[in-house]
Amino acid sequence: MELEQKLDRLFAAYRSAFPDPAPSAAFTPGIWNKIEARRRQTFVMSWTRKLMVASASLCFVFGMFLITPFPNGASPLATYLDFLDDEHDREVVAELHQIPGQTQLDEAGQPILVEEE
Amino acid sequence: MLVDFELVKRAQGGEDAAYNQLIQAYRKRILGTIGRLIGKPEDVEDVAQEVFVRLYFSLDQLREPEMFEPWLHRLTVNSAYDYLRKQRRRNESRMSDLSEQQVVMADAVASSNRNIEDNRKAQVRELVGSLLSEVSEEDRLLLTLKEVEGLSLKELEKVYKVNENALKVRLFRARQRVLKAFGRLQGENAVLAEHFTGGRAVEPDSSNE
Repeated sequence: MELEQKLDRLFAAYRSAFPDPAPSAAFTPGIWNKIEARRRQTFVMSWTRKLMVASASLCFVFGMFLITPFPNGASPLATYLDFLDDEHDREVVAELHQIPGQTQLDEAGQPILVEEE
Repeated sequence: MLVDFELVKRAQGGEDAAYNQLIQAYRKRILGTIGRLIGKPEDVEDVAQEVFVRLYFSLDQLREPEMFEPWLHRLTVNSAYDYLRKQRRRNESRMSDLSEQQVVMADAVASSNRNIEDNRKAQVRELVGSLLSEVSEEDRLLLTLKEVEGLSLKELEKVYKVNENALKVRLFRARQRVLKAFGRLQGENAVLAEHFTGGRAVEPDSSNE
């Protein structure tokens, strides 16, 4: 019991060893500076988060676009010429494939149709 | 309540002037409470500023202006708790670099530089600080709010949002651990403990000078 009372007295002494101090002149301006700093930080963070969400959404959409097969079986990566290759006359396509300087010509000067293996 | 509800509502509405008035009204009280909760006068302003910054950003979540003071107390306790946790980690790494003898010598040099009254207050703070270190940070804060700040169980219930019986149990256990440590200290150094609880000022130890 005596020890309990001594502890109470010690807590009371502790209370008076820490009176409510007067704040320094920089106290309130310091609070506003910290509030401003945190506001800026929050602003940057929120935009960073928005950008990250937008990037992730775009990646998802493009990913889905690449993964999803086309209804007619064509690859989404196929070029226009590949498409023509599949759908049109091979001779027409061969002419479209000809690149100046690399085209093989026959003796009459006509382009040679190179058969694909 | 140091301010009227209308001022709290205006501050909630984003009026900076009203918030400034809230700071002016509560800053001294918060500084005192934090000083007693953390036991480090040199860091009191920093922690108190953190309380007001947190209050600013969370004020819109306060539904009833009547709950403003318990709300502010809760923010104070949370900020003090965060500080104590950081401080413990820092002390662990810092103290591990020093030998026990170096720590004792550093304490002795610091003590000899203070005047008598400051020395007594500092010794009380150190003594209570070492007793409170026997319990967890959570219990230290709870015990300080009850025993030093004088908050009633009803007020603590609002601050912690825990029922009164649970608080009583926690307080009882924490106090018993502190009492045990105090009893041990009395056994080891009866003269020292008697100085603080008998209300007599302690003369600085001449062997330290």
